[in-house]
This record gives sequence, structure tokens and C-alpha cells, in this order.
Amino acid sequence: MSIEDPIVIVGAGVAGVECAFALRDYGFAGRIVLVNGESEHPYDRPAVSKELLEGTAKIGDVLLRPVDSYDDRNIEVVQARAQNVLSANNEVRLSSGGVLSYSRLVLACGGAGRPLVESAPRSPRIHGLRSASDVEAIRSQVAPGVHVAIAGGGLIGCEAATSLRRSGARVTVLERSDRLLAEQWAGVMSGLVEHWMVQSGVEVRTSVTATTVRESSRHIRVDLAGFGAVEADLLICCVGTNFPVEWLRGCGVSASVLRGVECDNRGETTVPGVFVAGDLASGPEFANVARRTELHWEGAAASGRAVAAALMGADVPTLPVPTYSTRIFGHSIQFIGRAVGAPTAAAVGTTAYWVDAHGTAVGALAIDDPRGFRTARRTVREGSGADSINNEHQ
Amino acid sequence: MTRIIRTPVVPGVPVVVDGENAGPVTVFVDGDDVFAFEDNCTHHKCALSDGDFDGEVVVCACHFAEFSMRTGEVLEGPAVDALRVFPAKIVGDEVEVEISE
Repeated sequence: MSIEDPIVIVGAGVAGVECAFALRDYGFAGRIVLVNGESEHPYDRPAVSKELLEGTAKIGDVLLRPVDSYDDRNIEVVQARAQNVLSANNEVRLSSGGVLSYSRLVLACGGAGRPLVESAPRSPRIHGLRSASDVEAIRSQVAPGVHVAIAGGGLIGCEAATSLRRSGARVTVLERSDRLLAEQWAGVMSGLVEHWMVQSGVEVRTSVTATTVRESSRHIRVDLAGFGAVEADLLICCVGTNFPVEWLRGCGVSASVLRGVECDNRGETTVPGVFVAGDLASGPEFANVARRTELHWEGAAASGRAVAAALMGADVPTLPVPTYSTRIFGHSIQFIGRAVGAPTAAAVGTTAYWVDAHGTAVGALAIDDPRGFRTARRTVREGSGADSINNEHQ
Repeated sequence: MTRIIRTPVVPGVPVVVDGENAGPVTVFVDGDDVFAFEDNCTHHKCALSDGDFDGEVVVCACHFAEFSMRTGEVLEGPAVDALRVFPAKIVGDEVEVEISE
């Protein structure tokens, strides 16, 4: 290694891209190499289950940054997958056969979809929903009347049901727990979202556990323990995130498939000079503020910028209070903060608050209420109490 | 070169006018305030005229990016780039928008 060697960032999702641009913003003048494992220019991943899947946007509409901006900021983008890290030599080996020497390394390659059942066959009818290439494969098979089974009634599953139903597919959602969105927002949206889905012609099956997945010549068959089976033309698995960390084996970084890569509150891993950002980061700071159950865009972006600060020896900015927004069957849902316990009443056109024992608003959820959300966001960020909420609503 | 575009005053309702090379321009009149800005959100190009108008702030309907209609400044992400704003004033029963190219 020499000081001339670049900072290498593996992964060109929002964490990696934000890290690269933030390094320039902090005045880093050396080389930055961004290793992009996908064939598209770096794009906004939240669009995968929404407008890209529905077909209302193309990849060029949802790029993270304009294509020219990488050259403008002197950020080198290399199209390849990282295959292993030789930390003793400060080298990353690439699928293209090349080897990159680094002065510092940032791992920002995110997670991967969990399989519905471990024994599921590999089939062109079975998809994850993580990337633009997943979308391309799914959309080439979806047409009006095609039956799509979506495994997982979490956020991604519900967004996918919206997008595919609007593309004319017949959609069945399979959820293991007794309701949709059980882990989101303390379950507040479960009833409403199921209502919207059923009204829009989506079949919702809760409390069903997939035991086996089989492929016949014409269908994918998912056996549901004690509740028969579902046969569909396509199966899309939205049942959570694993972290593919096998490629890091042997480089000294402490990592696991379930938790990602361990790091301190500056994003540095157990190997000095190797950092981790975004969903893949599993550390005290990131774990508490923006991660684990909330693998969301904003947290990943902020974590990329925080790692840039750490690399430059600057103060690491505090990660923002997490927010998330989506649209399900035309209804807007905006969330900020934490959802623990029961909130104030939630209804369409209003904003519900979670208030802690000290009367402080710690979370808020707006349903078709963008104005209410602006007030709520300010309130939760400032950590002001329930009294001020009541005053503002009077 | 500067062009003037004129459009009738419609208080409280966003009106989209053709800014030609500047693209579609949203004109919004709220009391004495007159705002004119590019209609395409700088994030993913959604029409800001479909958004929510709250004081001096426009909230994009697609991903809830927020901009100051007065300065174009990004107030909330996910947008990164500022919105282009145009000088505008009420003359008689019309709004005049000044577009420089």
C-alpha cells in the first residue's frame, strides 16, 4: 500500500455513492474508486419495488446522481463485483480479474434477499426483489392475468403487490404472521393496508407458513403447512434480508450472515483501515439509530456520509431520526422516529403520534396527511412534548 | 435573453405554464405572494404542481421532497439539487414570470 492508493468503496448503492461524494465535500483530493457490482449506473433502490416494478419510471429516471457528476467530482466507477479482500496486502480482487490496491476500504454492498425456504429450487419463475435486474426479469414475465404470489407481507411485499396489481397481474400475498405489516409501525397500518389490498383485488393470506416450494412445467407451487397450497406463475420473495459476507472470509473482518459487518461508532471494522457503511454495517451507533429492523434509504445515505467524515478525521455527524415514506394503492404513508407501543388514533387523513412516558413525541405516522407530517416531523426531531402537539392541533 | 410569460391570476391553485427551454413552470399565488419555479422535482422529475402547497413550501407528491418556493432551496430530501425559481409579480389580473435564458 502507498498513500497514493485510492480509497476504494465496494458497492454503489446510496451508502457508497454518498460516501464518495461526501469525501469530496470534505476536501479529499486523492483517488476514489467506486466498485459497482451492477450493470446500471448507480440508482435509487427504493424505486425497485415501486415505480420501476410498476413500469412508471425507467432506470434513467431514478439515478442517484446525474451520470456526469462522477466524472465532475473525479470519482472513478469500476463495473465489477468484489470477490475477496486481502487485507494483509490492502488489496481487493475483482470479478473482472483485476486487483485494486487501497489506502482505505469501505464496504457498502448492502444485503441480499432471504430465500422463502432453503430448499427452494433455482427457477426463472422465482425472484427476489432487490435490484433493477430483478425488476427486468419480473417485468418480462408479468402481463395482465398472470398470477404472482408474493411471499412476505412487509413493506416491500405490500409495495410489490401495489405495483404488480397496477400492472394487471393477479396477486396473492402470503404472510406468515396473522397480519400484514406486523413489524412495521407497531402494526398500526395492518388493517387499513389489508383493506386497500382486498378492495383492489389482491388476495391476502395471513397466518400461512411455506413449507416447500416446487416447480412444475407450468407453475410454482408453494405448500402452506395445513392450509393447502398456492400455485402461481411467478413467486417473488420479500421475506427479509441476509448479508452475503462469505467473500469477506479470511480477511479478518468480523461479520455474520444475519447481522452484517461489525463496526465501531465511526464505521471502522475489526480490521483497521477497513470501514463499513449502509445496511451492511452492524455497530453500536448504526445499530441503535438507523439499522437492523429499519434498513432504509435515509439511514444508509447518512451512514455513508458519516463514514466519509470518519475517514477524513472530521466529527462524525449524528445520524438523523429515521424516516420512511411510501405509497400503497395510492395512499401516502410517512413515518418518522420510533413506534413502540400504542399510538394516538390512526386514520386516513390524519397523523398518529407515539408518545413516551415523559410525554415526549418519539414517533409519528401520517396517512394521506403531508401537512400533518411536516408538523409531526418537526415535533419528533425537536423531541418536544405532547403538549405542543395538542397546541398545534387546536 | 429574458422572456416574460403571462398567465391569469388563480389564487391558491398551482398553474403550469410552458417555459419553453426552461421546461414547464409552476405559478402559485397565495395572497400577496407569487411564486414561480420549475415544475419538475429535481429528485425524480415528478410534477411539483401535483404536490402540497403549505406556506412558502412545496412538498413533492412522489417522494415528499420539500423546497422553498421563494429561494428554491431543498428543505427536506430526498432531493439534493435546488429548484430553479423565477422572478414573478402580479400586474393587473395577470402574473408575469420572468424567464432568463
